[in-house]
Amino acid sequence: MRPTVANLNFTSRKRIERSHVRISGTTAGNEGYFILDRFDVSEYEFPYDAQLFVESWTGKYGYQRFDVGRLDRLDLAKRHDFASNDLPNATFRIKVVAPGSSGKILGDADNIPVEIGGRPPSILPIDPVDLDNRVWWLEIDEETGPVLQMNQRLPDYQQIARDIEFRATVMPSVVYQIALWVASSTSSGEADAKVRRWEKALTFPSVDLSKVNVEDEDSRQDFATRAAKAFAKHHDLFEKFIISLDRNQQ
Amino acid sequence: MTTLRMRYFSQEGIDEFEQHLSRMADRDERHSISTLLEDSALTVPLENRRSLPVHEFSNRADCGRFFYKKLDVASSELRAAGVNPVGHRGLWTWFAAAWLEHLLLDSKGNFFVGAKERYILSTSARRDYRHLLYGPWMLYTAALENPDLVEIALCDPVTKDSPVFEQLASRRDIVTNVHALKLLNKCYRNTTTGVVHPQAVRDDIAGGLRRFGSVYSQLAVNYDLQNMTESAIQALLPAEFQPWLDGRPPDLKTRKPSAKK
Repeated sequence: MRPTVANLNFTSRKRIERSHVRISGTTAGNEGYFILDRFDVSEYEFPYDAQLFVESWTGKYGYQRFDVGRLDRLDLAKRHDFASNDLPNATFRIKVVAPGSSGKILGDADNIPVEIGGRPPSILPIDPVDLDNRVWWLEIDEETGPVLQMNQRLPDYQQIARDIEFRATVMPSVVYQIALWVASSTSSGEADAKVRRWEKALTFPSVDLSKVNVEDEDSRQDFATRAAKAFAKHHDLFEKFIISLDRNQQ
Repeated sequence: MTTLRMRYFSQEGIDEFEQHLSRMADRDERHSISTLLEDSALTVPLENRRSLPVHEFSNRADCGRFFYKKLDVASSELRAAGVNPVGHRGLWTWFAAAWLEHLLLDSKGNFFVGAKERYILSTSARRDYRHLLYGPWMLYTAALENPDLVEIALCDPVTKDSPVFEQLASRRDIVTNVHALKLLNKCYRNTTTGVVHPQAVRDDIAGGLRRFGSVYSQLAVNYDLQNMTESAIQALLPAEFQPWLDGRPPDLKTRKPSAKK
């Protein structure tokens, strides 16, 4: 008898916790590779001969698949060459697949970002796009959440986004816009999870989302302003900016 | 036939083009924007050696193939200019402006200004395929090694609404899986005529194309479909797909039972 499609997890697939998995990547020019440097799944009791696959997505149809091997023969130090210059923006899905030909997924972890150069992945994805004469832009999609867009013509947009001059001058405005989105969000499901993550990230002593009157624009703007100020203070953005200016003038 | 040299719009060019579109929509009347296309204040020249013949495309496949070839031969110049065609708003919006006389049409060929994202490339990867020229190019390029398998989505004129294109282009899991594409063709393409069964795009008939997309997405959560053969995926499909797989799609008059009774 054929199976019916009754609900999303009708095969008792196990959700692998994000904290049990880590993908680290290295890029150099147009080349890159990643390693699966943490894969701690002992508590899930998968069969030893289950197969592990890693899949990546870049852009709309940029799909790559990597056969990592049997669970009892994993070589976590193995480098997996990445056939795209967009490794920093790739998202990964890790699948533990039942032995044999059933194709049944026993466990998985989805939307895993890659850590480049040992840095933990940012809550704010960076996307290189055509921005003409603008250096950056914040795009907030109701489903995918905030994305920091960087002009794709920049020589090294990842590095520029990390530079203190950029962060000090740009991030308070970015945080302000995101805080406004959080304060007025009525999202649900996956989108709601993104709002909750940002809520957590914007938690500072002087910033209390619970006191915001979502119907009142002034109240939302006040919350966003407080969040931007608190963010700048928490990261000492002004001080670091001045120090950087001094260094550049020497 | 107009012949142009490839350029792309600056942000000001995109803004200006958008204003023209709004005016045409408000007045329900087409006006020329030819001066916009080569205005040095609004566009950036890209490639001067080869001409770009602006002509009507017979269908989405023709469109996808045309831009694939043009962008492929110009790839070194594009790279030198720091232009990546994937997601490049200025480039694809300029293409739409250049082809505008062929794009401001509804499914019946009447003058029509549709949603902006049909002409101005959306910055959202979830909606960019709706651009009338970018969508066909993306799908054609993604299936370059198996063009026959996406033909059912690319056989209509670019301005004609196509539920098959919409379903396929928006589902990357299917587009990137040859076996899924084969199965989809097996279900919904008439093997004799090569055209899509008209029932396939009807939501009121069980096992239609939209249902295939949603069932596939659910199965992909629990099965490693990217590594399964066509027959293995077929075995997972619910019984409602059997008539389609047998080449006997439900009669147009056969509707699925309503849930509200």
